[in-house]
Amino acid sequence: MGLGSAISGVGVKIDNPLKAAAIKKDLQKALGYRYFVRTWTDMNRNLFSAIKLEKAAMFIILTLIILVACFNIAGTLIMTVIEKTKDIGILKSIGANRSGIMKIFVLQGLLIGAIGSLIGGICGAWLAGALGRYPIVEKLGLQEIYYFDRLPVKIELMDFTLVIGTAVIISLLATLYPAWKASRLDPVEALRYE
Amino acid sequence: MIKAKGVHKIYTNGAEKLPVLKGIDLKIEKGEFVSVLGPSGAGKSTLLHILGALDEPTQGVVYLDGSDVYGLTDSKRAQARNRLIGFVFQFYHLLPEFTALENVMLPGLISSQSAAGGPRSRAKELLGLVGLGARLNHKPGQLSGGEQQRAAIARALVNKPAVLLCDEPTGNLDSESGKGIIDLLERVNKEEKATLVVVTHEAQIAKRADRILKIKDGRLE
Ligand SMILES: Nc1ncnc2c1ncn2[C@@H]1O[C@H](COP(=O)(O)OP(=O)(O)OP(=O)(O)O)[C@@H](O)[C@H]1O
Ligand SMILES: [Mg+2]
Repeated sequence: MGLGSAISGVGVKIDNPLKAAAIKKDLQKALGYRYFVRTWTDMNRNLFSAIKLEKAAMFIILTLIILVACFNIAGTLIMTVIEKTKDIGILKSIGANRSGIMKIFVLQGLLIGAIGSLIGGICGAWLAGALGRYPIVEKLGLQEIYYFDRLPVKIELMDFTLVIGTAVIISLLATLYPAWKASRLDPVEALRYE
Repeated sequence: MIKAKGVHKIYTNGAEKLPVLKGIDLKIEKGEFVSVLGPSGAGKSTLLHILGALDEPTQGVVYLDGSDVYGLTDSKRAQARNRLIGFVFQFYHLLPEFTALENVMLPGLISSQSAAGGPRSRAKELLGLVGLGARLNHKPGQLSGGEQQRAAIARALVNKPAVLLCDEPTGNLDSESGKGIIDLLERVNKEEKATLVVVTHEAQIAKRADRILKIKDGRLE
C-alpha cells in the first residue's frame, strides 16, 4: 500500500484485562495526541453496548420480579392486619397511637423484605461465584465456539448493594399501605365482642 | 374528673341512621364509684368507649381531667388513654401471644418506651396483688376466665390511672369469682382514689356503687 516498512499500530498485551481503561489513560498521556489508543472494550464497542443494554433489561425484569414479591408482602400484611384487628384494638385501648401501630407493621414487612433480600443476595452471589469457577463452557462442549472454558464472572459490590437496597426499599414501600390501614382501624368494633 | 355534654352517637348504615346515644350529660367526680345499668343494646358500651377517649361521639363534648379529649390530636388522645384511663372488658382482651406478665407490662412499655425495670417490677407487684404472683409466665390460654380478668385489671392499673372504666367485668364469670373482681375494683377505688365506672347488668353489683346511672333509649334517666 506504499507504506513500506512503516508501522501502523502496536498491540499491547496486559496482565489484567480489567485494568485496560486505566492503562489506556496512562499510555495516551505518555504518547501524546498524535497517537490513538484503543482498548479491547473500545474495539468491541457494539458487543459491549449490547451487553450493557441486556444488563439494563435484566434490571427491569428483576425489578418487576421484586415488585411481584412485594405484592406478596403487602398481601401477607393485609391478612395479618385483618387477623389482628382485635389485638390492634386492644393496643389502642391501652394507649398505642396511630404511628405506634403503623411502626409494628412496617417493621414486620421490612423484616420479611430484608431477610428475603439478604438470603437471595447471598445465594445469588454464591451461585455467580460458583459459575465463575465451574468450567461450564467446556462441560457443554462449546469451547470450539468460544475461546474460553468458563464464563467470566465479576461480582460488583455496587450492583450487589444496589439490588439488595432496591429490594429492601420496595418492600418498605409495600408495607406502607397495610400499616397505614392498620393505624386507621376503628378499635371499638373489635372490642365489643369476643 | 369526667364530664360529658350533649353526647350523641349515631351509626349510619347506608341511608339508614341508628341513633344509639341521644344527648347524654353527665359528670363524675374524682374518686367516685359509679355504675351504669341498662338493657342490652341501650348503648352502655358505646358510652363507656366514648368516655374513655376510644370512640368519637357524633356530637357533643367529653372532658377528661379538664381537657376536651376529642379536640386533642390522635397521639395526645392515645397518651390520655395510656396515662389516665384503665379499661377492663367483658372478654378480658389480653393479647394471646404474650404471658400474663408481658400483658400487664404493656401499657407501661408504651408510655416509657423502655423495658427497663419500672414496668416489669410494677407489673409483678400488681399480679401479686391480684393473686397471680405464681402465674407470671402463663399465657392467657392457660388461665381461667377469672384469672384472665384479674390479669386484665392488673394491666389496667399498671400506669396508676385516675379512671377505671369497666364494661361488664363480671359478665363472663360465675358469681363467686365475679364478687372477687368487684371486691378488687372497689379496693382500688377506695385505696388509690381511682374513679371507677362499672357497666353491668347485675343489680347486685350496681348497688355497691356510690351512684347508679340508668341508661334507656339512649338517654340517662
Ligand atoms: N358499628 C355499628 N353499626 C351499627 N350499629 C351499631 C354499631 N355498633 C353498635 N351498634 C348498635 O348500638 C347499640 C348499642 O350498642 P352497645 O354495645 O353500646 O350496647 P350495650 O348497652 O353495651 O349492650 P350489651 O348490654 O348487650 O353489651 C346496639 O343496638 C348495637 O347494635
Ligand atoms: Mg356492652
